[in-house]
Amino acid sequence: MKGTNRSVISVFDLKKPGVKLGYSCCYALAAGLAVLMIYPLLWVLFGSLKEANEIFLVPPTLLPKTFLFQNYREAWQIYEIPKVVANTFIAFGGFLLVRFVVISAAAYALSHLKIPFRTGFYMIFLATLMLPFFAYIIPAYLVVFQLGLLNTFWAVWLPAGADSFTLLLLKGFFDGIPGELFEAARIDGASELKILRVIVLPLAKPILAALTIFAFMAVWNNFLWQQIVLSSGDKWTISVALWFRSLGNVGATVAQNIQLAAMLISTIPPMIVFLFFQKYIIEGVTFSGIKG
Amino acid sequence: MNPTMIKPAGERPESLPQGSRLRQFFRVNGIGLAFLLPALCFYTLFQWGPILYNFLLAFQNYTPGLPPVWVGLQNFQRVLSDSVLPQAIANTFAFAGWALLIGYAVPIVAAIVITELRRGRAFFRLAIYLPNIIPAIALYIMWIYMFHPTVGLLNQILQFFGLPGLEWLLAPKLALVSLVIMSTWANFGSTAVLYMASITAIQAELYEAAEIDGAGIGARIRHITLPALQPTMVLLLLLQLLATLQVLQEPFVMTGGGPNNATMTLMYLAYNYAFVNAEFGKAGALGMLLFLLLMVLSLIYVKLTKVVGQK
Repeated sequence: MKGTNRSVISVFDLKKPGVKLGYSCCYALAAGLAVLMIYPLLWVLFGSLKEANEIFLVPPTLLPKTFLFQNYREAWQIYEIPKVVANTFIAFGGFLLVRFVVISAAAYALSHLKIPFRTGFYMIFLATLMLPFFAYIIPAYLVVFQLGLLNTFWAVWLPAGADSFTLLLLKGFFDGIPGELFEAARIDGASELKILRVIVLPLAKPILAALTIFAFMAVWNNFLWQQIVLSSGDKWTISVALWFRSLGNVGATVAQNIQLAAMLISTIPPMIVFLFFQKYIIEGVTFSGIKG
Repeated sequence: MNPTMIKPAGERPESLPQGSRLRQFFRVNGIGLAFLLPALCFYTLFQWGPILYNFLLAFQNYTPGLPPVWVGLQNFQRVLSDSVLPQAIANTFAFAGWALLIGYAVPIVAAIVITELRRGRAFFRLAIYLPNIIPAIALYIMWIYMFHPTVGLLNQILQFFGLPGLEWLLAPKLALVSLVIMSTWANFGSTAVLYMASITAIQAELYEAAEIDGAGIGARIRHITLPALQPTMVLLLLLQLLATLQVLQEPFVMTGGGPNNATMTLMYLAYNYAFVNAEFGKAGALGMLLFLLLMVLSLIYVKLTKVVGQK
């Protein structure tokens, strides 16, 4: 057996009946957790296929009497899914562009260019990781207001340029690229911008891919900031639309079965992204937790 | 070799007159600073600026669109005399306390148990991580349905075991705990994944050596697994505490702070000051008090962990 495959319990232990029982309990516990996680989702899925009055039937049914796929069509129309998804992608596109341009330049400067007070600058950036979110959400709203950016996508795009997690990851990656690699280009008179664009960024493709996924998940899931700065209906992103039509619009909310259908529609894109890029995401979570 | 030293550095800047020394400085550092400038602007506008601005805001009466009026400590007086404040403080700390009580040990146990399994580890990891993929609002919609007193899944389960159903979000005594249950369900997977990564990094030889020395399974967990997890545990305790003290989105979306202010938190109060009553100065004052509280908590925590670490 490979060394990495063992943990606390060894093969020898497993031969003892007591340990065997405990090991089975571990499986039972894990299986219980899995059921606890997956069953509610299935239950919601069935709910989304029920008729409006079947949802409030007492005693409740598990499987729907009729599978109403038309709930999904209704949710698609009521929540204006094509429009809000398009808005979310517009928000995401600018968000990513601003973040990559600003942060990759800063990370490159911090790791390969001559600058004074390098550590001081780095600390100014990194210290924001410890800042509590609410200490700046209200004044940041006022900043956006004073810049005249309320109800424009700029309010989502621009703050993306100040993200220390991205900076930390990119600088770490750039540090690993030996300077000799672009010394020749420098001697040939290539500008630093060109070196960054032509040599450094292509090397960083894997990490940029991971950061793209994180940015997508962040924009798709973010609610509070988007709700504050994009309040007019034509700019709503998926989260804001989902909130307003389901819960926020007191007294005129959508029927429960349609709510559930819309909720599941909104879960599909991040689910697809996750299933394809699971490895990156889990590694990113691990990294972001350990960075401190 | 340090790659940053390759730049052609100027010779003996000391001997040059003042003007060209400045020019010299920019010739050497100009490009680097130019690359740094955009990030500095963005950080100033959206991170450091707002924090400092908040300290100013706390002493002003400000309505967007009108000139600010300096009012001294008035905002603080009005915040401290708000009749909802004591309850908001109690709720915020109760939420953080319950979240730690229910939510802190669960991911550790789950991580140890799941890494122990020889088959299906990837499946179980995926299963517990699943809620983290669901967008927050979708999650709340789902849980409002789960908490429904007559048709919700939770009461169905209670009834299956012959227990009476509960009111969950509608009961003043239970609403806050309901939110904690939901956020534990939703968040413990990502924390467990962190712990699992730390456990996988433990060398198998340690366990082998301990086994040969006759350490039982419990002793191996206590003396090898848990010490290896300690740095992560220490860090996550602080991060979870800070995050739960800032709780806003869950009560905002799911209960509106009710029933009867039972889920009104400090952050939600600040949100209401700003975006419902348009009293940004008051929100700034409360924000500043909270900021100081969290900074003090973090400092105490850092000091304490250092003292414990030295022993």
